[in-house]
Amino acid sequence: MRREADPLPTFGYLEILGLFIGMIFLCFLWGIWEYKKPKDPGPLFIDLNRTIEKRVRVRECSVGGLTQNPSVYETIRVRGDLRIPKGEVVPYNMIVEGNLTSQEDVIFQGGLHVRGRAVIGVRNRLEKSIVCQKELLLSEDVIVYNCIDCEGLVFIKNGVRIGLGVEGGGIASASTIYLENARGPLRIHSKARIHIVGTLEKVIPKDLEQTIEVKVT
Amino acid sequence: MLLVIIAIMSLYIVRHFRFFSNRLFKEQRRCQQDLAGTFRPSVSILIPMHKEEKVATSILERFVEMDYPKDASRYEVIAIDDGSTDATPSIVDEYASKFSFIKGVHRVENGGNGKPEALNVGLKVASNEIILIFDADYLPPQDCIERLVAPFVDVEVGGVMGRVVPVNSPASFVSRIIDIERAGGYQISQQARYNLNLIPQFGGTVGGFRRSVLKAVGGFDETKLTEDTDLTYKLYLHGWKIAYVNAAECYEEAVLSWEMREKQLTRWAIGHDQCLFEYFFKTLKSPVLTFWQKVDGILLLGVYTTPLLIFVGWLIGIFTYLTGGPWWSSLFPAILFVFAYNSIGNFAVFAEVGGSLFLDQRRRSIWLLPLMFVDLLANVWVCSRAFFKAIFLRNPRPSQVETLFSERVHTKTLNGFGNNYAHQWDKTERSGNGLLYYTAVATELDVTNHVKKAEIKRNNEKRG
Repeated sequence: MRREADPLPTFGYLEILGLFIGMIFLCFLWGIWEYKKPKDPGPLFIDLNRTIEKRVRVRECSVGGLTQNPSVYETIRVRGDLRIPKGEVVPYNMIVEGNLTSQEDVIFQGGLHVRGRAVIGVRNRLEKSIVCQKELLLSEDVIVYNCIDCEGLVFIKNGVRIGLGVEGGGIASASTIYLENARGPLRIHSKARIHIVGTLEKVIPKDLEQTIEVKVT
Repeated sequence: MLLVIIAIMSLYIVRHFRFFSNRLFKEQRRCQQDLAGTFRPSVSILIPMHKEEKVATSILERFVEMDYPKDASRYEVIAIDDGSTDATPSIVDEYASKFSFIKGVHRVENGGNGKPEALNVGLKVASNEIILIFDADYLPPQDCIERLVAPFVDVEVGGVMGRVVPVNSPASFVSRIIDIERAGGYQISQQARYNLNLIPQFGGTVGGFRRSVLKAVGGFDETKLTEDTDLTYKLYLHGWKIAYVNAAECYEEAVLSWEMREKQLTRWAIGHDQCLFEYFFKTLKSPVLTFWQKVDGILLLGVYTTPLLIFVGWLIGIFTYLTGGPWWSSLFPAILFVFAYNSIGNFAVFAEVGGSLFLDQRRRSIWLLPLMFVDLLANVWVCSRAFFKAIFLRNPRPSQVETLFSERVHTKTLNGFGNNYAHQWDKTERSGNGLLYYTAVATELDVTNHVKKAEIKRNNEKRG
């Protein structure tokens, strides 16, 4: 036997369906209304004449012959900690996935990326930039031709020179930068603070000192 | 089948809401922008041009005004005229004769074979350490180059990508929708992927590479319609990273009509699907990528196949409902609709677009969000069709093409599905109205400044 459809539930269903469709169209209505208005002046409106702020220029190159090396550097990746002995020449870019410790008079001809902490020894020469994700210590008389970018604390000892290359350079840190007897104009950006101290011995964390001890022994 | 589709779409939703929450509530990576302006390596800028007379002058003018040392050994602009038959060659020559750092490259005999080929020719001429690429309809501000080169301080960074902002968004309905979609894609998605150390993508323009990296991976692949996505994956699989610089904004002319949008979207979708076929297993097996990079890499590769999944899901859902499946089967079309609305777009989902407009302080534009539904429907249709076109493009045919780095010769071309996509320019038509908007705003700024100055003068006079 065929069942007759009950008209009342059908109307109820249609009412709900109509309401549902109405609500959907309501949100389009606002969109269309907004579209008809002139465009909102967002913050990205073009500023043709936008110029960068005048920055402190890095001091002029005082050492002769520090020109850009045009050769293409190979990049090597080191898994774990790395300790570079005295007087070594590193002729490539290096990504160190652990900590880096270098002894005296090491020459880095490429750039450095250190995932751990880095302790750069006395009279080291970095001919490109160094990016460090933890603490960074630059010992006495280190030369960095381009930039230092560090996520952790930065300790810069006496006689360190930064940004001597033709490309220029500076320091940026997400944390505090400690400078020992800083001299001359230097472009420094720190998210926290910049401290100029007489000696770094008091501010260097103990565990970083241990890293330095390892280097010395 | 339906459950698999829903599971995949759920993954996309989780991914996008992760991006959203990271961008809005977590600390953002600095991307060496503190060093922008102090670190200025030697740069070669490549501008591939094919019949660009409407926009050639404006982009070359922008690079003349760029805030960067203009000595020829460190800054060169290479305008590559790729077989243009309009006034483009003469515009390029005019600028090359006036400014020593602008070089004009004309491809007369073998010209007109597409952007990747033009870029490879440009690379042969380029001599500097960093290679940046700009499309001809882009209008970079004066600090764009120094912001883009700053991440190269890091030796791990092989490529960089800036933010694309449509300049002509008031021009049409399509350009307004693209404007907000781009905002979500760059402001939220790209930035979050960079924050989370996933895979920010090089977008083919407003970005660049180290020359040594390009050489290592063999330059631009001329068999791909999206050589940018291809390069992104090549870089990551070789252990390099791409930095996304949100502060390096560059203005572009967005397309104005649905026809142009369809053409553009088809090209992107086919190219992206080509990369999906090539890099899916390579990404999974990579010893270099982390677990989450692999997950993001796979989801990014599949971003243009999700519309097809949605489409299939709708069909199965409706079929199940009509053929008397269980009571809950009727929920499938609705669920998929919601999923689609939340996850389709050019990396820009509903929440991401809303979040980006919030960050950009464009509160009024949030009302336009529901209208993105139209874009969703277009995406479903265009990307589904493009997927099948991409399948027929999978087996390239040999041809003789002279390319970058003579020791590596690409011997492939693409012919399939009735179209020859490779070795021809498939760009969208330029309206040339970008400069009008650009100039209009600049004039408005001048007027505002003038009014302010006059007001200050009047106040000073009143004070005596």
